[in-house]
Amino acid sequence: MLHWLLTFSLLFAGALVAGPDQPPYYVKMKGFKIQSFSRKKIEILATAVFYNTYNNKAKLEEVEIDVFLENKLLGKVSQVGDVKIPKLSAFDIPLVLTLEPPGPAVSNSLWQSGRFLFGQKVTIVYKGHIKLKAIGFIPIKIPMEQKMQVSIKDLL
Amino acid sequence: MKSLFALLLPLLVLSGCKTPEAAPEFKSVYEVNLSGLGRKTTKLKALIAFTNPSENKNYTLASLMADIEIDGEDVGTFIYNNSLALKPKSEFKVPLSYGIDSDKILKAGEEPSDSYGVRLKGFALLLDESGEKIKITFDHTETIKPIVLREERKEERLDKRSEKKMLRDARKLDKSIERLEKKEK
Repeated sequence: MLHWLLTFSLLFAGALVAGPDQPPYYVKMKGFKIQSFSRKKIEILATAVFYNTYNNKAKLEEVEIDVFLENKLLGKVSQVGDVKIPKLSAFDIPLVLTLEPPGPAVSNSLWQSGRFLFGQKVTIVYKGHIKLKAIGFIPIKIPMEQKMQVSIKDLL
Repeated sequence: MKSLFALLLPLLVLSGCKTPEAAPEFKSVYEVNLSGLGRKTTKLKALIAFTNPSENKNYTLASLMADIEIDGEDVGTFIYNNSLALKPKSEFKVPLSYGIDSDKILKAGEEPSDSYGVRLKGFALLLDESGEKIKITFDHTETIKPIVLREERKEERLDKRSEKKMLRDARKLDKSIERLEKKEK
């Protein structure tokens, strides 16, 4: 009896540990727009899309994404609202980048050069990772990096 | 010799004019429906159809991605990762099923609308027999009426019944107060 119990518990543990063929992955960024724009504060919204390859619901544990403008760190994004992660599905993480007050990196790269304000394209990079945990699995880090050329027209 | 050449020339020209093999293309989106409005999650279902007009080429669907907009608001991205075979001279439909957080469609206290504009914009990646990738883009917009499920109808009926009961109770209470007032006089 004990032998069977041990076998079943091992099989159950194995089923829990055995993950999908491919770990969850980053898909794309979308929905860039300036939420608020003033001398004191700029808020840029964007949505990161990931795909949950687990056959289980998951929970978002951490969002660590830095934003770079022309290779200079602009700041860190914050997650907006709750994120539901259904099984075997893509999910959106709404992100906001708050620049308050605009730091030297912003001033030098964005305002003084004036390139961005005059409609020229600048390079923005979102780079970092998220951490999610599915039931029965250990938390997993999903790296992401998105480089894009953005003009003020794209954000308005 | 000249007459033979004159006979062969049109044939040569015609054989050179052979049209290239038609590639698979997006056809339409069918059976778009939105159900469960007013609940925590609203379900969007649809069938995204493609055709393969080729006479003899087989294709395989590698993946499909569609950004979903409802009334102009982005509500999510649908990804289909299962492979599907696309035989020659045939049509195939990719089933879309996506759970949308109802807060993205209805604001707090807002009643569901009679119609919604649904937009599906994305692409399908197909593989031909040699493994070469073919990208087919699509952009479909249509206005649909949301489905009211049986359970929701039941809930509506129950709500109406409880409203009527409350009205009856209120009337009874009014009458009993009137009686008491008359007695006191």
